[in-house]
Amino acid sequence: MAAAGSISADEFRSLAEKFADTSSKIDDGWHLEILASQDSVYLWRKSILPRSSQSNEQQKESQKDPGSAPPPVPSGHVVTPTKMSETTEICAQLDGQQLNVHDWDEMEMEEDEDEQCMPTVLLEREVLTYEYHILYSESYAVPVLYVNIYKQDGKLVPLDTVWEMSPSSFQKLLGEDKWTILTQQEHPLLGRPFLQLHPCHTGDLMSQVLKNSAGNIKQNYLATWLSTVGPMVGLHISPNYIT
Amino acid sequence: MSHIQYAPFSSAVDPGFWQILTEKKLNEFGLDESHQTINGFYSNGNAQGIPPQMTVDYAAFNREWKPPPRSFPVCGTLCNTNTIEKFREMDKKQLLSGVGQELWEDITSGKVLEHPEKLCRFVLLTFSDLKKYHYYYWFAFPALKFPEKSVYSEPPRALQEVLPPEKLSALAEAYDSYQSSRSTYATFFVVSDDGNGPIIADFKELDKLVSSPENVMVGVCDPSAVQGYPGWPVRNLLSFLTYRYTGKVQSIKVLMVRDRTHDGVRDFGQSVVASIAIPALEKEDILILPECVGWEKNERSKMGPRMVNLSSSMDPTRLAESAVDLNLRLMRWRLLPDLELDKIGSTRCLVLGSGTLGCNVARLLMSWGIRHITMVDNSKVSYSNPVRQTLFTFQDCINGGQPKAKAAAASLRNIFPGMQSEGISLSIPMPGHAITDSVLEQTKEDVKKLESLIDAHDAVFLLMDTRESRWLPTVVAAAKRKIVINAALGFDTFLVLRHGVRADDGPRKREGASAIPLGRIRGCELGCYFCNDVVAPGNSTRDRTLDQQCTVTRPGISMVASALAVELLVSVLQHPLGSDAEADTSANEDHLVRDAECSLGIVPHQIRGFLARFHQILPASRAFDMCTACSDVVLNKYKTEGFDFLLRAFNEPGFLEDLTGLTAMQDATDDAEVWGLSDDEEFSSGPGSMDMDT
Repeated sequence: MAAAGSISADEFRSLAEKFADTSSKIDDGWHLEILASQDSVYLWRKSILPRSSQSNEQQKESQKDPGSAPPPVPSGHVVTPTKMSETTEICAQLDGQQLNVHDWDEMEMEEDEDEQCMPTVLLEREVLTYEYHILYSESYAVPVLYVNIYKQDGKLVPLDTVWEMSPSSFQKLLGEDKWTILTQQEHPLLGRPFLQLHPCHTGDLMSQVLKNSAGNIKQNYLATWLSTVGPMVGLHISPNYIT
Repeated sequence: MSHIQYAPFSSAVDPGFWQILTEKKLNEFGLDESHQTINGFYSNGNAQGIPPQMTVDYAAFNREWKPPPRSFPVCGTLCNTNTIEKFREMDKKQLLSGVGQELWEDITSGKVLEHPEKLCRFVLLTFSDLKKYHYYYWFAFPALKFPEKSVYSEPPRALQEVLPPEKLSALAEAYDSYQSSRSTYATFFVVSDDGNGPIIADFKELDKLVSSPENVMVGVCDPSAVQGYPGWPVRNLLSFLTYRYTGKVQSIKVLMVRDRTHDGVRDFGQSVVASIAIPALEKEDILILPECVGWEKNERSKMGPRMVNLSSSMDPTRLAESAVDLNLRLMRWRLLPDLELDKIGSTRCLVLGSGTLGCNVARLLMSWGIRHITMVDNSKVSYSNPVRQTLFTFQDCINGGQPKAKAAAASLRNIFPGMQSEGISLSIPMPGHAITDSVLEQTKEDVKKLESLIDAHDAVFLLMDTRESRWLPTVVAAAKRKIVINAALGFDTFLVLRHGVRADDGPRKREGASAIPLGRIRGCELGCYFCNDVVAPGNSTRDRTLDQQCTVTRPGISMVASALAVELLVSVLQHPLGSDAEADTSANEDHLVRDAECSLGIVPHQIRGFLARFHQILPASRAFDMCTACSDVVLNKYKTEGFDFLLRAFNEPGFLEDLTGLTAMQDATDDAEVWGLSDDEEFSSGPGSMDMDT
């Protein structure tokens, strides 16, 4: 019998199917990918968020309550810069070194301002794409969360920046044991580098949770687990998944 | 009233797009620079504050392509140049106006009516530097300056302000059932209401407009989430509507669908309705090709290209580096929080001898994250070597054999491209191997080379196959106060030791052992490999039979000794006092239980192993005043006379003994007495008695 807190591959598949179903009903963006060749399924979703939403409490508040949203834009001015922005600016500077400034200037075009185009300063400059994948780990017999966060040019946000971006409630935990929690690994199905929330604590966590729930203990497994660990990497789970 | 301004697309490139572009460039395009058709998409569900993104991803080149669910296609033209110069010199205006002309033809021919998605286009100019994984790129989202300006005839309002809730949900329902009846979502469509609820039809039904413009809305899925600014597709739609209906209708009602969901709650009511005036244009105004604009501004808000460096996520070498680094850091985070990985990793190591010991030591240094390794040897790889000498393969032996040092250094880089390894073929001059005039200049060169190598490294490994070849590097390294780790093998015995490193350049001080507990010796007072000897190094190969000259050791011995040699170096580096770390003697066995000053444990002086008994001991000994390699008198001579001194040591038998006083001591003492002082025959006779090999 499987250890408390773990699930079988078949259980994962049916949980994942239900999760994707619920998502499509509420347009939550999760998709079920079926890899027939590898006899595997995984869930994935992309979310686009302003770069600072993870570390900016004010921004989070406004997201929670769209009904009373503050006057929109220019959010580029509202958002306070964070460590993240400094890091990315440094990256941008380094990136720029490959061609000297003269070359860049030379490539710029002199063009009359397009009067029908809104002033781009009014747009939020930097947004990040969060790509989440949920896979099943045979060896741990639990689901595993993979995430990549990248800028609009496709550059991945490095691991230490992702640590810095995680909410303060997770910072203490990360400080003590960050390497056992969030590290860069190869995506086992796609072979690309991804950040992985390490599955070694998932079984323990879920056995605690399942112990306290009666009856249909496993039907909320994915949502319960994700709502616990997801916020570390900017993933929030709608209550709609809890049945 | 002010004219309408549109929110431009903001390009978003998934990492997977760069990956597929790289593969296509390498395997398919080659040097072909002709334009490629690619696919992008946008969504109309962006949260407020998110710019209207147009995304290209891994599937961009697929022939049978469909946008992801609830996304809308944007038809792209890729122009990938072979060089940065071509990228720079490309006539961007011409490139864009070419696509603008296609757009204009689609509009004027009415093709847009059947295929309205043709209104949404992009151009992508790229140059990929595939050696560095640097990508230069510039997106354009073509828009025609037609009409020159547009104005609202009725200002935009949120749908939820215009429609009562039940009508709003009826419209949302009609929209859903229309979109889900199609294989992909439609970007543009027509909404009509004859009083019996909303009906949504394909865009080609647009001409209904002319008959009853007040009951009809043109629907467009709007990527913009910015209040007051419609997105780019609305602009292109207006070009088409203006061309087709100028003079026929005065204004057209447009429904810009912004289909947000937040936390499972849909917010269709944020969609925008506006009436837009259709200017009455003269015939000749609609005959000329309008100007096309739309190059994207870069992160500096300039009309210029962007560059992204993806080496950290795409370059296999960089991936290997970060994986290796992560592995070491894992050790630090999990077990030894104060492990000085940077200090260890930045130590430059000189490996003298590239045989079994040299190969194994280099591999282990690499495992510890040390990148800078210089291999030295003077021989070539022979057929017997690869099975024991772990950096070589059969290939290194054929055609006379590769030089060992170069082959070993290349092998390190093969295993891990992040290595900065160099191989140097060099013969080390030795006492007892006389220097004839014919090789004098060469010997001078070799000494100079060795001196500069020792200068340029932080730690020196002595792993050669004779005792006397270790003399010169011992002297030089002692004079330069470098860390020296020495390993020597017998058939089933080994010795690993660190040389004492003097505290300063002056003569060695004999501080009383008062501050140091009995049986422990400061690192600066420890002896070297030659300190236990009462004879100077001489030619040890002269009378040896073949079996004594070749590697005749139990194969595991080299592995064990190499491992201990590297771990000894790491323990020295990690110790707060570095090379001055005290050493215990194993006579004082509390080192097995007491707490060490260093998180890696104690730092012994010597490790002597006896494989026949699977036993090892950790003796320590002080530097010998009459040592032929590290005593004050030898170092002073070397520092003051340099090569002339060395030459006499190489050439004159007895010179070093006379110099250090060993001869006098031997004369004054009966040999039998010296041996009688030994308290443990097993190892007191010193390294000189062991067969050595690499």
